[in-house]
Amino acid sequence: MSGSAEVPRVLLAYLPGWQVRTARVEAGPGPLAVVSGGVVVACCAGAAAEGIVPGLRVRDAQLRCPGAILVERDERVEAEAFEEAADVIERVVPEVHVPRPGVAAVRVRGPARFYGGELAAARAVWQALRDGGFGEARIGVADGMFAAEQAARGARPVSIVSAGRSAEYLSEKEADLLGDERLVRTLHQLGLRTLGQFAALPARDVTARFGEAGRVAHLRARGQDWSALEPRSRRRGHGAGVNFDEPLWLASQVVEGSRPVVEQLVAEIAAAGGVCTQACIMVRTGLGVTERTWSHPWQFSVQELLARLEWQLQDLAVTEAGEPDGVLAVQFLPTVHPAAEHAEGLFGDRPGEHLMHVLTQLQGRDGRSAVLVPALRGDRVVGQRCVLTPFGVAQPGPRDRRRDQPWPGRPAGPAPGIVFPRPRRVGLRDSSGAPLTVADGVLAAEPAWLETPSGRSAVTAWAGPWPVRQRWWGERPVSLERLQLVTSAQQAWLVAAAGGHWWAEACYG
Amino acid sequence: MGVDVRIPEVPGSWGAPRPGREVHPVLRTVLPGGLKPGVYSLTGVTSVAFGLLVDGWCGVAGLPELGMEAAHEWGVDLGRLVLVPRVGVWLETVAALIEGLDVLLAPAPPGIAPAAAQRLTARLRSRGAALVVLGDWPRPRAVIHASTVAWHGLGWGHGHIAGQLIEVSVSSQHTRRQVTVLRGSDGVRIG
Repeated sequence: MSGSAEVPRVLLAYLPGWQVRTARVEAGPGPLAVVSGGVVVACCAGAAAEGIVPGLRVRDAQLRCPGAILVERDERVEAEAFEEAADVIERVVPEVHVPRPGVAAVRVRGPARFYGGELAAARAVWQALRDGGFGEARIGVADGMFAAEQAARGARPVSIVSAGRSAEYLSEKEADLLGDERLVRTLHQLGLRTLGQFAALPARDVTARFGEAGRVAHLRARGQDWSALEPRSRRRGHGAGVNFDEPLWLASQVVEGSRPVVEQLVAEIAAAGGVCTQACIMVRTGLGVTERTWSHPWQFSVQELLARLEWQLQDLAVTEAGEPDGVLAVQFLPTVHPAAEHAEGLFGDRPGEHLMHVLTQLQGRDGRSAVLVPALRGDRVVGQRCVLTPFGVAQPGPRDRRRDQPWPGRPAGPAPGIVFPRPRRVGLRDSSGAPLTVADGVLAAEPAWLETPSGRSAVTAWAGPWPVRQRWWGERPVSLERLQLVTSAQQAWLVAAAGGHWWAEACYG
Repeated sequence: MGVDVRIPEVPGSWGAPRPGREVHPVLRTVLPGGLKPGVYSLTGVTSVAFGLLVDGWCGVAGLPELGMEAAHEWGVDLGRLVLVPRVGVWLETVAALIEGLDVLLAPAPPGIAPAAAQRLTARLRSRGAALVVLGDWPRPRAVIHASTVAWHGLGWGHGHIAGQLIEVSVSSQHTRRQVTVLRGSDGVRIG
């Protein structure tokens, strides 16, 4: 069988009971059966315990279990719901093919190279699905889709049938799995009960007797399923990856080694009329795989994509416990939009090439946080009413920034011109010179003197305390009492008492 | 020394008054024609500097404590503002940034050689960009001083800060212009 070696190796994720899972959302708890054309097509374990089986007529099902909820099958809903699972898979491996809801497949060659083996790739997909809330997923890897699906339907989370062994693996399975009712009935009449027995028939005779459908079924039974794998959408675009012959230890080597594939990738995206605004970069070292999704406010150029890789490598070197390991492989998974869809608005104001160059060069020299872009967000604490994002990284959306919500505890009036990222310790004293205290929202005395690092000045106006209860600059929730003051130097301050001390949150200038 | 190298931004634009970078409307009376290429020195109320960062791509170098909400109230387009929190070598960073930005705000350097200051000014002229420093500068184009005259709304134990009355004066070689602006929670207007 010279052909079997050329059958594509397929990694297939199978989510058992997908029809029931999607129907459940609508139906709520209780025994559940999904019906189509007056016949049960799937049922949950509870319904199965009552005697309902797929293929049963609806009337009989109602008789066996009067309390069962019957949901008409909606393939559109099933397919839409499965997009979420496919997205989860796509975050780990590119170019996912969805033959039907509940089943997703990819060619395993690329991912296996990247993750360092088919088993590692299968585990990565399984873990991603589990973390994504699809813990029931089963993964199978075999020659061709058919064998991979049979492997995935096994009991173990991950089953791998080694290359060229799929026919052998399938031989003991029942011929019913072929799914073609007429064919299976004929095979049964012929006394052929297993796939192995069917596979043993000469191919020419099978084609002569059963036609094209028989030929395809025969190939499947022999582990030679040639079904083409078409990515479900072009939105993700093709990934690009590079494997290094030996581990690379320097970020610059990795970046330079990745440059040709990134150049090609960006050129391909541009040639297809696309715009890449998001890319997932996966880096494999001897210790494992780290992935990170980078967003861009405008669109990624070659240089910018490589800069993100470099940033990711820098983070890796910092966060990885112990000795960092050499990089074995890098993969880029871009999200591509048609350029037309994206003409204006989403781009925002893109700075000119000249300014981009100046700023990215500065980031190249001093790190990405050397140049930041501000955006306002909603919060009670003045110092947290602004989010800073490195230049060239997409900012959080308005909803994440909660700008439109009311913030009852925020200080009224014009915003302070100077906001201390971390509140500064100051002193507040009463007219006798004693430190001012506050208990249960009441000041022990009137404030008279404010002491800051630049000196001591008299308080000429004040109001408060206003209580603020929330997470302040620390992680733990705190409650604090806030005062506004004006000093004789005509400076206005926002100060707060927390933990027995006074802190300046902001100065109005 | 002292040779002022003037490089016209556009050939043939000698003599013709060239409009500078737009400033906040309340500052137009004190900065007629906007911010011209060159260095401005600003002292006093820091937030007034935001009124100068309203045109083109602007940047703030080395002033991590500036309140962005106040910037927004002064009419700064935060989508066209970049922040460089750490300055490092002042001259190097500022020189790099003015190559790309239209207006840059930075703290005054601890001390700058007159020759370096002149080279920077020449570069600003050729790029048509303006630099605003908080503090002193040798021979700036203009000195902007802002001081708080009064705070509105806050009493003794009651009220809250509702407005800041600021006096802004701009002195250039022979002229001195002054305006009073009121900063409230709804923005800035002539006071």
